Amino acid sequence: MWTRKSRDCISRVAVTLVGYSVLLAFALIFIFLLWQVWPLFQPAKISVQSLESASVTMVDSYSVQSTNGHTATHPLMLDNGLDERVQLQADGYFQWYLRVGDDWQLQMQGHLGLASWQAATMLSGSRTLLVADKNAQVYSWFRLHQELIVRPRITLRQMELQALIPVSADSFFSLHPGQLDWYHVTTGKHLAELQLPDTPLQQLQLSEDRQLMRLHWGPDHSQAYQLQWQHPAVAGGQLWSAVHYEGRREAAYVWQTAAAADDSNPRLSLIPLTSGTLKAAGYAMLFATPLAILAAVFTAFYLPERWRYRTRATMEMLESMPTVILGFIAAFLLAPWLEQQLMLFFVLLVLVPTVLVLCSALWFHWRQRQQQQAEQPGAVLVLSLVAGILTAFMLAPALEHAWFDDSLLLWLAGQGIDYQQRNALIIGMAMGLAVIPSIFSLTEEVVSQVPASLTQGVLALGASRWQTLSSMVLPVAAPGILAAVLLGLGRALGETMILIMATGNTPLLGFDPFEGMRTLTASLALEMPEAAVGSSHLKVLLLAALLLLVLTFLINTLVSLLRQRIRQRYLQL
Amino acid sequence: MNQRIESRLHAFFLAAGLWFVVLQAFGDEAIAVFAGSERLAGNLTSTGSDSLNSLMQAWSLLFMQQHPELNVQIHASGSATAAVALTESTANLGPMSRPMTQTERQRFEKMHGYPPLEIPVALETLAVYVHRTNPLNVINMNELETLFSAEPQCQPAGRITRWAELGVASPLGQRRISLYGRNSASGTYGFLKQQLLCHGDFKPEVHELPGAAAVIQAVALAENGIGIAGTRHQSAAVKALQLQQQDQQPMTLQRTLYIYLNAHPVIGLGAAELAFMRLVLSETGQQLVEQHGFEAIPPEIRAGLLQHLSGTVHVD
Repeated sequence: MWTRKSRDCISRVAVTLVGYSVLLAFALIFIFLLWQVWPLFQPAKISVQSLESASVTMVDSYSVQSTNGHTATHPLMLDNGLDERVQLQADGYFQWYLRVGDDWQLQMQGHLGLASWQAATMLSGSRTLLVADKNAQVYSWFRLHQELIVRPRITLRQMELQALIPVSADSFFSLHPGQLDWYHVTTGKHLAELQLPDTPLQQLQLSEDRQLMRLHWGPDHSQAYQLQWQHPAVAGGQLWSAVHYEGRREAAYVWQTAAAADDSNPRLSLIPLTSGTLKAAGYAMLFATPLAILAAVFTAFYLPERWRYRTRATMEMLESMPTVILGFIAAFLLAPWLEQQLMLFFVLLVLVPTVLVLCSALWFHWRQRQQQQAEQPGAVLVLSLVAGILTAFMLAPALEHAWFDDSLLLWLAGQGIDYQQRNALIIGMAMGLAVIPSIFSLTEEVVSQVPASLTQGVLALGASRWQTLSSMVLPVAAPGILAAVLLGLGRALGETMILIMATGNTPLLGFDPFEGMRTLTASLALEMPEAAVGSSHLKVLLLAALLLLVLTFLINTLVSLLRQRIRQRYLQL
Repeated sequence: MNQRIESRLHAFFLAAGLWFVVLQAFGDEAIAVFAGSERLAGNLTSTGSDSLNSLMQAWSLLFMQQHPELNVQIHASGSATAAVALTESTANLGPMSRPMTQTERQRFEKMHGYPPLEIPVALETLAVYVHRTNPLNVINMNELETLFSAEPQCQPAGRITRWAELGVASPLGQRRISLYGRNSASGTYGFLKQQLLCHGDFKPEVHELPGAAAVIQAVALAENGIGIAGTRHQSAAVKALQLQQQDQQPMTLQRTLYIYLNAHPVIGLGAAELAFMRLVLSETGQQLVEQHGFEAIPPEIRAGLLQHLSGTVHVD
């Protein structure tokens, strides 16, 4: 029954099935993320709702007068439904009140700087005052203590304006004859529009959750509409552009979410997180790339076979080290130590390589003068390393005393450079350590696999080891080394635990080495458990996950292509 | 064939019945020994807050001793999950380290037609910590807000970035203040955003650490650090500052921890939930609260809550 052929056939089917299901799982994750993220970018919509299901109670209702609702003798009283109130005169003179207990206290008064205005409103549940002038410009102000802060203007349709109607804490309608427009205040984007019949509108009602709207044109002529706008801020371009939020003095890229506070106005800019990810990965690569490549070349090219095997095994062991441990060491040992010994760190950084190179040069000259072959100077290397470290330890306090008044930290602070304990240097070292094994393994593999016939041929022609390495081995293995670096980069971009523990998770912009950062991965891990289901916050986090997935996928594809190329190159040689 | 199966079934039911009788006898005895209250059986599921987890464990342990046939399962997956689980009726108890947001309440009401029942079960005091070598002893709320907020909303204020601006002498005075706090998913973060920052934004420079213990550890290791965290993990390596109001009156930052329940306005709470909440609000339950480093709810408030709880139960 079980012939060789049938067994072969069955095993082939089984293996193929498993292989495809793994690929399918990967594709499904991708599709799931896409499906989750898709609603973020759907535009808001106003659609007609059938009357039968429109039994929701309407809480807010706005009567529309045919003429402008204000005169000089009757100032307009605007109200945000909570604790702020503005009295606005026809000439633009305003008085701003705040409710303290049961009293309305005058906080500030003055002139808006508009000669005349057409319509005004206060957004419900927010502190923003909206005023439209005669040229279809909507100005938005909010009060910060005794000061009015202006936010970007919004330009309306060039039509007769009947009213401004607040929809939510962050959006409003502008009502024109035969036309209703919907705008988002924070991003200034036009969300949606609705064509209305020519009969003059009398009343507009909104449900409490702002999902339903009913328009009345007369006692027996009304129509219900559904407002669809899950993620207006994101659709308005908040993710990648600077936004002027209420309560702030200027536009900024802000990532700030609080599951606990009701976030009608979430700050979801992916710029600080993306820059944090790039910064962390960049510093880690800066630290890891030279070390890993040099170590790999050394192992593959200079070490005897026995030692090469051992080194490789040790590196593989390092690769499997849990990153939690590295993160812990970085946050609670390395970071405080570096802050105390910053001077020593820099002196070591400069002195050790210099002393190493100097000592080997001296050693070489001395051997040459004695007419002897310069061998592997192992003992000299170790000795010079020890000498370098010792000198650094002795020199650092003296230099700090002489150059920086005894404290490099304070001197830096005086120069306006503020050293934070959890910074990019720490991450560079800790994550660099985590990345080194992946770069090392692949580099070592491609360098040691350079066909022996080639290297031996070059050596036989009289080239030195360095000449062989620099003019033959490295150029041949270059695509492979590039692949190794990319592999390390992929690892650094996806790393999470070290970053959560040692960065401080500060969503800062820029690439300052003495400041921390917040990365996409850390945000995902920290915020995912508390993000409300269906919220913009959760969807933006999933978008970040998708971004990471795509990025690592691209990098890994590139790595595979490069590896394939180098394999072909070796076969041809 | 059929007969055989039937006889086996009979035997099975007989055995099961016997077993049930035995169980019941022992179960009754156990209850008589432990509590002597009404018999409760079944499952109670709790989904919610991390910070309340240890306390929930302690309460449920005590509760299961009193009601051995009741099984309490506790999932600590964050406060936000409590609201979802209660709304979807996958949990009976929803411990939360912050009040439910408007949106969460609306979702619950949409599903059930009535609001969730909110019972405060413990208080947590937050303190401001600095490194033990820091000469500062007192800080006022305005300074604290200025330190932590991107744009002060409660009080107009300048900027404070260096220790000298808080009156600390050199050399520490020259250095920038390093700010430490909890991560944005935590109840502490939300509480501070509302109470300390008047709904303003935190500075992006504030280090967000994943736990109160991590905040205290970080401040203990940073001479220029200042951090806000619960008093539960206080250690000798840090110094707690005295908090003052503008008029130099001492004050405390205290937040309330809750358990949310699904109490139908007519049917009321389930018997098991009610018994659990009674235990939580009892003298022993509140002693556990203090053992875990939180503060107990004052007795007069508890009495009112207990009355309220009993009121929600419909008597047949």
